[in-house]
Amino acid sequence: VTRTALGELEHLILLAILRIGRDAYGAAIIAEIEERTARDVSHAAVYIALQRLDAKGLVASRAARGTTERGGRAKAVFAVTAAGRTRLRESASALFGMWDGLDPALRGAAGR
Amino acid sequence: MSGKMASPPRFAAWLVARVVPGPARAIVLGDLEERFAVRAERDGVAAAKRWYWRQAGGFVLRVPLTRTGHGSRARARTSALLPAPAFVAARPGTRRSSRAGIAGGLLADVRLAVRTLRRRPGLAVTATAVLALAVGANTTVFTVVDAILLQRLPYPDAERLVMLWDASGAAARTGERMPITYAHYRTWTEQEALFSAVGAWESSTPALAEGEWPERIDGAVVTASLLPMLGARPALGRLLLPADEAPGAPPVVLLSHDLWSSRFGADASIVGRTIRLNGIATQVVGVLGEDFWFYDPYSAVRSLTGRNAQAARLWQPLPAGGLFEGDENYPRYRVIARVRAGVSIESAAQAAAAVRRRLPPTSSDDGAELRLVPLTEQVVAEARPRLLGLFAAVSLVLLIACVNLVSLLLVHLEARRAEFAVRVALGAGRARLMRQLIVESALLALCGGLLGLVVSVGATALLLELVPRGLPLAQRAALDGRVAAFGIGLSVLAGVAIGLSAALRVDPTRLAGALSAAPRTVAGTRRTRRLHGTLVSAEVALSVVLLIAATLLLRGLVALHAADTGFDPEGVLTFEAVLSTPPGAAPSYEYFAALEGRLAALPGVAAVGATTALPFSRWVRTAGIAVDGVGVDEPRARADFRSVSPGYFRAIGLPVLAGRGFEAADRGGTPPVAVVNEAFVARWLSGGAGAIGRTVAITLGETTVHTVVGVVANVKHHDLLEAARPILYVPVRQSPVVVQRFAVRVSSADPLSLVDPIRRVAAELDPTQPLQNFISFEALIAQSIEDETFYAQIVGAFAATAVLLTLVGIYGVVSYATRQRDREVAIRVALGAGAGSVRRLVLGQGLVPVAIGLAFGVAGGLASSRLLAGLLHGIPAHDATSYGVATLVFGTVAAAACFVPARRAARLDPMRVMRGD
Repeated sequence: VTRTALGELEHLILLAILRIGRDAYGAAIIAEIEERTARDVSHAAVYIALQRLDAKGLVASRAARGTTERGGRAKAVFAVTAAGRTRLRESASALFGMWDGLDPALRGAAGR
Repeated sequence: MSGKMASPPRFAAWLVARVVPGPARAIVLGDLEERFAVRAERDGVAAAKRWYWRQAGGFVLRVPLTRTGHGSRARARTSALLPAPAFVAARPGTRRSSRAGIAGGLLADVRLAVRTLRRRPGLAVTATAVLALAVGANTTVFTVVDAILLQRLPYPDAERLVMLWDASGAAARTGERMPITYAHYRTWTEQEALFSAVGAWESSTPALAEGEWPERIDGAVVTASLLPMLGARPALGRLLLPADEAPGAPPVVLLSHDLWSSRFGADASIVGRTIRLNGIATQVVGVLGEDFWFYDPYSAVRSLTGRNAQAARLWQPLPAGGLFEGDENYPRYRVIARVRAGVSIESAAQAAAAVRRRLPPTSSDDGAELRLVPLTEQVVAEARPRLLGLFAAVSLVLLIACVNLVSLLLVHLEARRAEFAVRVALGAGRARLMRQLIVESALLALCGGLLGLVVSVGATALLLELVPRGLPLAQRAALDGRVAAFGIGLSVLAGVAIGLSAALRVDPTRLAGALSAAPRTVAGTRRTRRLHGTLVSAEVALSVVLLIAATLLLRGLVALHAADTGFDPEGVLTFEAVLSTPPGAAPSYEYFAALEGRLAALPGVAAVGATTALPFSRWVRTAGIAVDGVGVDEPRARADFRSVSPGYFRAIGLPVLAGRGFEAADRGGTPPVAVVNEAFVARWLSGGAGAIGRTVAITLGETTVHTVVGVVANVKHHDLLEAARPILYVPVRQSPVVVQRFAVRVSSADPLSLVDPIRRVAAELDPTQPLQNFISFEALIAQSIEDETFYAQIVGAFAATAVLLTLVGIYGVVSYATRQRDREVAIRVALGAGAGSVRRLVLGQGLVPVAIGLAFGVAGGLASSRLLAGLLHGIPAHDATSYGVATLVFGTVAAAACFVPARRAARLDPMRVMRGD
């Protein structure tokens, strides 16, 4: 069974969930990505990616009660599964391996 | 955050809600709203809204295009609450539903339906034909119901128009209505607080001298107030004026559009011209508009021939004081009044009744009550229950057609299991399949409905030919926008209902196995078979109800035809001669005798006679009688009374049982004589030594004493099934009249062939005296049962249609079900079952639902036959024979329909079936 590589957005989402911790629901994930990457993210794209991650078993979700700032609407809270962590770790080591030894100037630009 | 929070653009949010299905919707909207609030705070509301719109666009564009594999779906379901699996359900064409998306999907469905139906022309043609038949029949009946019951009367403010009747003495208890006297008419015109207008009329048939021979024209003598109240407008000239009513005013006449165009060639210069009516020079003052409809509750009774017999064709002014001198207190006039605005019909009725009670009694009333009947009620009351019955009957036909098509579609659906299974495997859901089935059947229904409208145009023309004259306003029935909308609406409704019923049977989870499990087991089809059985039972029950109704009506009609009239109407021609007497001149009764003599001499005439009231002419005449000189001064008893000519009994073939008939010698100067019928003898002359030689005093204005010289047989007079009524005959020359109805016994085959010779002879005798209403005696009798004939024909046609549809349905279902069991039958045969037992198996399977349907149908027939009560004479509504005949007929043909597939099954070759050929 060949595993498909993580897409960029999938990668970002998994990391965002890990950074947020306990209350990683849709809006929080998007806010985290937008703040850290300084770019707008399409909600639709995020949900589709989440769905894909769920289908691959890399995230798990549970329902949570809504809050007033979202009109009392329910939210879905995500957590990265063990399989998800493994895939992230594999991805990260692959990426770090690739970055290793490249021009520090480029590294600085990427790290900002 | 500011106190006043901006909210996301509502339409964009709605769009998102449309494309995101199920539980994910709240989650997505909540997240968007939360982010929107942050952005509104940070970038401003306008920028946030733009952002929201972009996000919504992203959902619309991306969600439906995203699909995942089948396997992930099952696993995803296990999570608690996911946006993800919900998206999986989103498929192109269903959830991508902006308005255009829905329309596009529907169009695709229609295209698919057209393709599917073209692949199955048998289904398409059968279904279209069945629906065309049912919708056509329903639309036709609706056309008539609409014309008579639903549309308003063609008069301004028709709901405020009422008819005034006297119900006097015994008549008040039986509900019989008596016309109004001229004196009372004047009283009603004075009740200005109640009525804003009052008009009166009496029918008339003046002789019009135009053309080869004079002709009597149906007309009315009306007050000047009547026609304006009914909204009449002149197409030429003017209406009648109050000045025309004044004594000594020059005679004038108003023509109907129809009379003007048929008899006067639509001559535009007719106004001012003088025509001769009853020999009197009369000036034409106007022609009424083409659309004016004149209603007279009596004219249907009075005129015997012609389809549009109800329509008066000319109007003359009613002279102030009444038609005849000293006639003010004779109840002669029909009166219509318009209830004043602001006065309710009920309070007007009460007030008018109170006024009526204070009026001095007239000769003809004893404690009369005034009846105020809304004109609409007057016109349609009699027709309403029958038309509603007809509508119920035709609705059954539609229901049968629908059930029929549901079973037809289900049979085809079974055949399409594989197709649907493939589509389910490709991701189509139940809703998707249901929608397609509904589109398919709605499309069929629309075709059927359009064709049904075409059918209805022809059927309406046919119906109007058959419609009895007692149905007023039927002639305005036409296929207009309302009717077309009804027909199309009905068929689409039927189509959707049929499609929905069939579609509810589609179960994707059951279909999933259809691909692999091609040879199905017996158990797998049991549920289907039960459903088909239920449909067959329903269809049978409905058509048996109709068949029972038709059988009852038909048996009633047969009983009417078999009834003995007491005389011999075959080969007898009848017509009327009415003396038109110029005012002041004495009527020349010798005219009738001379006419009778000349007619008797015509070649082809076997006998001639005349009477005041011919049986089945709907005329009746009564006189006060006193038998054997008892109570002569104040006769309490009344009996039917006829003035007849000497040849009358021979002409109608009425046997003289004792004594003699009348002779030419019985005339004015000779002793008054009378002939009575058996019923008269039984009622009044039963005691003593026979009837001959007894005396009967007859009071008709004045009293004369007649000696009974003969006894004749009874005749039916109004109704073929009535009890014999006592009738007293006197010689016409001893009791002269101005109207005579002739009966001419003809020796040739066709009585009507003598019409022209008779007219010629009459014109030679006196060119100013018209003859009218030529009709054979048999046709006259047929007219007395035209209501019964009409409803028997129509319900019979419905029942025949229903039985046909049901047989097609039974045959289709049974042959399909039999094919499904081919393998089972083959196994049975292979194990040694004989052809007989196979036939019994299939017949039993087909006939059990038929038997259940028959039982329900008989119960339904018993419950609904009350509707027919008014049309059944001599047959009880629960007539066992009719129920037996209907059940037997239906059972036999149903067995025949099942027998064909049963024979096929019995001839199966087990080896070929088992090999799967």
